[in-house]
Amino acid sequence: MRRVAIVGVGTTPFKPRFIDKTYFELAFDAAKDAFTDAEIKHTDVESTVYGIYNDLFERQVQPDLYVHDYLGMGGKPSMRVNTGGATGGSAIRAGFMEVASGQSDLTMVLGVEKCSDCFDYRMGQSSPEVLKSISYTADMTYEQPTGRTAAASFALAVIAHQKKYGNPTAEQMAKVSVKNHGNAALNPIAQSGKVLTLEDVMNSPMIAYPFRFYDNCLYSEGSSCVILASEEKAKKICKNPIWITGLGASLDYAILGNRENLYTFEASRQAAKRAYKMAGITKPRQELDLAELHDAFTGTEIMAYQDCFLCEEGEGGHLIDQNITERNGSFPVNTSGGLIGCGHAVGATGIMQTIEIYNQLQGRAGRRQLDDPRRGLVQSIGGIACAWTVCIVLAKGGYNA
Amino acid sequence: MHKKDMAKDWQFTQTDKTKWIETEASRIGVTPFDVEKAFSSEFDGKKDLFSPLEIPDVMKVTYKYTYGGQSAFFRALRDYGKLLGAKCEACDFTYCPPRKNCSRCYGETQWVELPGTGKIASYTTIYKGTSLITGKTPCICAYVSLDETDFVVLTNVEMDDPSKAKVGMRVKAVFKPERTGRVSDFYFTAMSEGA
Ligand SMILES: [Zn+2]
Repeated sequence: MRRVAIVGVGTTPFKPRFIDKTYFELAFDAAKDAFTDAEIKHTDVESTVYGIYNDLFERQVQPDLYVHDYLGMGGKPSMRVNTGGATGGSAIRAGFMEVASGQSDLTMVLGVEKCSDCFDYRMGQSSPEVLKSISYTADMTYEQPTGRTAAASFALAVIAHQKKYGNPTAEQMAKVSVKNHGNAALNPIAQSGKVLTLEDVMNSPMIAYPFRFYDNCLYSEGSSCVILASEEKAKKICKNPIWITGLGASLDYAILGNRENLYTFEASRQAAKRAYKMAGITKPRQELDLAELHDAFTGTEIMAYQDCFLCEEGEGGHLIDQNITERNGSFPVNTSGGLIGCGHAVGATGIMQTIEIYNQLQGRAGRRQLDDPRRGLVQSIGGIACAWTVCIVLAKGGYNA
Repeated sequence: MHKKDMAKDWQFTQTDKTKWIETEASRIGVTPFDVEKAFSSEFDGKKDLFSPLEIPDVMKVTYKYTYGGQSAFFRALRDYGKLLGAKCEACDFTYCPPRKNCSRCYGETQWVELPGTGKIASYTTIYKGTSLITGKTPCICAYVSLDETDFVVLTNVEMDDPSKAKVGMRVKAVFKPERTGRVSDFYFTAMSEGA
């Protein structure tokens, strides 16, 4: 297997709506930004991977056809990846495999998502119709008619986790929201600029018990792009590539009766184990310096602490209580602001998270910059109660530094 | 020609607002009132050529969907108000929701009648729902461990006070009087203490 590096990144801001751009125009902005950063031309790209989640958001089945066309990529090998919320992470995994296998020396991985063109005319707003588009991901025969939302699917796991371990508590979840909103306020591409207090979060309206409004991620539109290169190519065109040293994925049972329990996310545990094994990591808390964990909800960030082996089983709540995952803590999590603060433009999200780690490792994270981090983790999850997970380990310096 | 002057000398044709609203409302299946509300600002005069233009649209597909090998579950539900499971004798494992083929051993399962009782394995109360359940919130959505199965089923639990829901609570299936052959034909309610 060949080594794979990231040699350039680009992104649009994440916003509630780009009324002035279609999905392919958003993709164009992110791609152009990435080509500028990598100092390449679009004609240099040998293959493309598109991460796009929901055709109903885009009002277009197979939207990758029209992105590829608009980006002037006609004729190049391409595929579209869709693994729900984990689409961005899976797209990077697909791009990695293209380069690692020798199929390509320079691959563009681009995620893009609209959503706020969905519109509920009766309510006069987008969100109920966005939720409806997402609800078709639930098993249509046995589960979708219950009205379960994405928030409910994760709330069911968090309640089971609370029952088993006594956490996360409402206050611990609120702390995650305050932390991630605080980080987002320092991130120029973030959707939210709000600085919140624990009271703001704990008094916000209930969405799906135990998640209140500020426990939820934001619906966003946006596009993010990374350029992947083989080792030989990377050394030619880039002074300081960031290496993908670990990669692991898992798709768990989507019908939860088939799972061993409701209170952990086995997909995340398996994906993390695989990524750590490939990266040669045995003590992730010591050997990694930071992580972007998929905080679709505050409670799931806390569950991710244990599922990515950053703490003992059931002890996720303590990490936030002890301020360990704060930006100035010993193991910062979601310096981008995460999905809760920066936003969740579904197909682009895992790529946005990867770009945050890339920027931190490059010393390009502006006011969010940590003190010389060397190795970071991305966790990208999606589907019913975290059916999918992709974990990515990124490192700077030499491949094995 | 400078961009901002481009439409200066063109003949402007005003869309007939009333006719447009009625046609579009009928095309996407919403009321003319709601279309007018959503597009109120589009018709107050000539708009800049370069300002974003939105249109009402809908993606709709109708089905005559077959339940295939799961049909017996829905016939039992709709026509008899009964809950069926599917048991794999080889694995001694009972599924509900049922499946014709055992995902563990790849053998065939047998239909079994279930008592329709169980206990809450986890739950949540949905306050902000999709446009499919507008007006029906708050509603409890739960995984119920069904008696005589090895499975949990995702279902709705109806309670006067949703805050009384608890993990471990005993519940029983209630079949609606008018059924359509969907899982929404039944829901669960709390069983009395000691049941
Ligand atoms: Zn079997």
